[in-house]
Amino acid sequence: MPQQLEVTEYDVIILGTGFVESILAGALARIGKSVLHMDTNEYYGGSWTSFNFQELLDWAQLLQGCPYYLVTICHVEESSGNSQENFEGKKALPINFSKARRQAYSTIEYEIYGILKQTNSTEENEEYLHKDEQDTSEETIRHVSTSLSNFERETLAKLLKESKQYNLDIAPKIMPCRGELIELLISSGVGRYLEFKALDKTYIYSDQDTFDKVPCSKEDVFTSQTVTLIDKRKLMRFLTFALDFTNSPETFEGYEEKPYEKFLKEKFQIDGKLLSAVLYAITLIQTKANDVNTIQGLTYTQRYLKSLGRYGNAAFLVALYGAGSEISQGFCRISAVFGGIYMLNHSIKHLLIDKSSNNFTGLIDVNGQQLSSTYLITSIDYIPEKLLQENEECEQISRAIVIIDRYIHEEGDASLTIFPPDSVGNEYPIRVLQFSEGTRSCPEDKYVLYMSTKASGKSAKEDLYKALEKLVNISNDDASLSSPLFALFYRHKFRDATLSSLLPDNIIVTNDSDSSLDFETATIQAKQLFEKMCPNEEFLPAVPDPDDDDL
Amino acid sequence: MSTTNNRQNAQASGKLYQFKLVLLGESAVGKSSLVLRFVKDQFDDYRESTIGAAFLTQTISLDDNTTVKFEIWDTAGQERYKSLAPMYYRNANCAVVVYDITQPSSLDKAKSWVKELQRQADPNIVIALAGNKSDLNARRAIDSEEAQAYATDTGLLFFETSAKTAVNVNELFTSIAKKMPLEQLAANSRGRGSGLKQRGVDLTSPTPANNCSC
Amino acid sequence: MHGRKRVKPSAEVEKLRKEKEVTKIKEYRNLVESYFQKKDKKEFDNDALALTTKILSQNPDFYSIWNFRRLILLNGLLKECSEEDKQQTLSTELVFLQELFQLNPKSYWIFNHRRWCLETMQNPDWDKELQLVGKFLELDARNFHAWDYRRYVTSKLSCTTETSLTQIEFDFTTTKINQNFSNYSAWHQRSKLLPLLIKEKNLDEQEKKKLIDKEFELVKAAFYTDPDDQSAWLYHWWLVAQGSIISTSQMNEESKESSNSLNQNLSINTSERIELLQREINVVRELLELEPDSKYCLQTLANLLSELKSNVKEDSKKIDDEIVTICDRLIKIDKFRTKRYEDLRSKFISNQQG
Repeated sequence: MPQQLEVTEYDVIILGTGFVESILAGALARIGKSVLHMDTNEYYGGSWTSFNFQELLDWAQLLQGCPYYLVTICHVEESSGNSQENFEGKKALPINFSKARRQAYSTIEYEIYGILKQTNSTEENEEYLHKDEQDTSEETIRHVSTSLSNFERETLAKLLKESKQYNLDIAPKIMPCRGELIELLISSGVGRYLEFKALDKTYIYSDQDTFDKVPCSKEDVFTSQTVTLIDKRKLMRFLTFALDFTNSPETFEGYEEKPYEKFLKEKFQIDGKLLSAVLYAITLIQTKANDVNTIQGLTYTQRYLKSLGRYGNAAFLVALYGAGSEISQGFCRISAVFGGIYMLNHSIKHLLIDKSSNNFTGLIDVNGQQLSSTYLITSIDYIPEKLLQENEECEQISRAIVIIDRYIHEEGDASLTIFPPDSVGNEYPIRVLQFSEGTRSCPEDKYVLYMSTKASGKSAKEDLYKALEKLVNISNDDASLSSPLFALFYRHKFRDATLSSLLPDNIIVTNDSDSSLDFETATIQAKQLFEKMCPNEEFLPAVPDPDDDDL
Repeated sequence: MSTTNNRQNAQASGKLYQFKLVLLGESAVGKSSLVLRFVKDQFDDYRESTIGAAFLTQTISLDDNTTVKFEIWDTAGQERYKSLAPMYYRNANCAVVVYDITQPSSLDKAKSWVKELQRQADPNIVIALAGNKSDLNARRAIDSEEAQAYATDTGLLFFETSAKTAVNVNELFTSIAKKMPLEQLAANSRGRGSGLKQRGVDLTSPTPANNCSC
Repeated sequence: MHGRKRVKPSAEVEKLRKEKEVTKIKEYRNLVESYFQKKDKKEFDNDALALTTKILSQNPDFYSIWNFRRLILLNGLLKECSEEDKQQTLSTELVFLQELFQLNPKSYWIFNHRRWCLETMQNPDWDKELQLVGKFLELDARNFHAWDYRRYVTSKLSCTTETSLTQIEFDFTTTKINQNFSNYSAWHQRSKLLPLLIKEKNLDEQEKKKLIDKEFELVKAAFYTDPDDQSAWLYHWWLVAQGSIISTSQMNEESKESSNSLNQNLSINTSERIELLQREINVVRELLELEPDSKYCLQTLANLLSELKSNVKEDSKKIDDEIVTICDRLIKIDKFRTKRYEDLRSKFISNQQG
């Protein structure tokens, strides 16, 4: 049934409920702008969302080109609009949302691994499911499993049985304990909607197949068994300097634009394993060492160090249930509280562009209703192809979501593991987040690994598989390792639409999630876009506490 | 002697429980008005929809030793086009599903919200059904008995309320507080101030820095 | 009240605050006044007890009030009462003290009164006290009152249970030191426990050496991590000195048994001592290469060298020279203690001349 809107004119229409769009929705409604916020998907978060297991599988199949009627999510109708329809003297440019979505992802492969250890409770599984869920999951098993062995079918059945206990983040990120996002969550009050756990352990893969715990704080350096006495001193000296590096510019004078690596070696005699740890696990650089200069490096190192100690011995926080999706929902709620109107599962057919001014004037939705606004904020998926410039150079991120049956390093809510470049034939650092049930990512006896690296080889799987082999037992030859149950590999394009010169001035495009581990660049983009649109307004001022006024 | 003993009593006992309560129901049935009456004892005939706040809180003392604090979440209108965020149901301990006794369709809508809650929310959630606008008895379109029978069948608390005249509003929230499994919660969590949320990091409470002593 | 503006003119607020303060001081003075009256009249009744409660709740460091309170208890509630009542009264007293700790966790008088209560009780719950002091140290790991009280509690506990807590307590200091080693109290506690541990476990020479070497490793990790933290250096100094005490006492015991081998033993122990000193000198020198201006590092090296000198005959001139150089360096970087370093320096210069 068509859902007609009573109001058809707005200050801002926002398409997509991803992270950046949602912050903007909150910020604009907060200062009194009328906001209409729509998403073609039936869920919040766009390309920052989280799925349960069944949804993730469907999503993967959809991206692989599986017809949509075979899967249960993303019932997106393809736009049938003509390419350059004339609409009341305006150009009506068709939107092809699902095509844009599909183009953002590539080299999608998933694997289901057989459980060889125990096979006892098949019948029990079936009973556990509700009738309708059972139907869906049987259908899924039938559809997926033509090529599966019995063991693999069993794994799949188990995963589907617990499907709802998974919140699998398709663009997983963590939050530094000091930074743009956390301050925004605190000041805007959105943080009150969310729950967080600390990520306080980082490991680095070193030769001889060991994972060393990375010492970050003074206490870590003191207690670390893997760091020699001399290295303890070098590291502490460096960390003490880096925390306030701007106060001693003489130390890095002449090194500003030179590689950070060179600076660390020459000024602090940091080398070997320690150098790796500083570059990839503390500074968390995501490229090759040579690509980061001393100023950049020191800035990142300092941010990491400043994050320590605010919430215990953790540098990062993890938002429960999937950060991108939850945080987006939180900002959307602020927007709704201040009058923003929300419509999920609502397709947009055309954008309307005025022929003479080349400005955006409105859009036509799936019901043929015309809605207009002064500004359009949109994720790149809703931009008609005609307005995009081909940009083959864009960065790609190889990702994997792996479900395993046992923790890798030690128990705890969350940990981070780094594979430095060239440690497992990888060109760029590989980062692996391990989340447990405590982060509400998975059921109690499972763990989720989120792997990511900048793309370099032919596929996401090729980029990440060797690292995965070091973490879990894929080939069944080492019983001491954790076993994988499921792995999904995919590549995600970081499309930077801000580069397109064909866009009308009043269309504001938000970026996809980038290869960084945190939300800092995305938060900064949201803030800058807001300031550009509303130069004299406050960005997400605190919501007055309703409890205050009766004190 | 008595002084110290009294001190002991006041300090050692007294439990505060905090719960998240969500409101559901069709537009214009008076969800926000119910909350406003309960929290601030106010009523406004012409108020705009939505509360305009992150959430409101109100405390109820069940007895000398037990206080229940509700953190009340309004839908903020996001339900209108079926766009309520999953976050809304997340960790909700109790829900008030509201209908308007003068609007026949609003009970059907309430029933579908109850179903939605049973599907999406915590299985142990305490749900109350509220037939609001009981001051408009002359225009009544839904029988008390019918709603009561449905509530009994489904295991819901049931009240006919009037946010305008304050009838049954406090009773509604008090009986929800009484139905919460307090002993169980007390056993699960140690110490005072036990609630369900806040098992993780509280952003507004940083760890105190090591300040020099000795 | 509803509808009332919350923001008042700040001058008015200030006035109200001052008025409040004045009344508070006045009330307190009145309380103290009536205390003196009651004390003079030796009124040990319930009113007097309530009075001390009021005063102590405002000022727990008023120690004569504590004395008076004990007198009230002994002459009132605790006089000619059943053991049960006595236990009850003193338990109530402990709860009161626990509340006062929140006002001031570092008051001698609160701890003192607590000890008195527990010792006056027939069945003090020492386990509970241990838990309590554990919580204090969780809140502030460097509260030396709490550490002192912990030693007191554990000594009581080991008396009553006749099992040693030394290992457990030793491990407790390890935990606290690992959390933050800048903690004089925790290192101090460790220095008290280590000799006990050696004695209780009846360790042989080799085991003892192993244990002490482990302590050296721990403290080295600490001063390499933060050479500016004095607490670790103090423990190091204590450990070095302890090494000599342990071997000396060992020597004395053996020398009593057979005076014949005295010379031999002495030479073995001296060579062990020299070995230890040289090992530590190397450790400190290595650190000094990275931190040439570390005050504690220089001080430690001077101490170690000076002891080495008294143990070896050769290289005496070389050692003197090095100590003099160290003193020169210290005079430059640690201006507050210039005289001390000059004094030390003069000893080694005069030696050279002599």
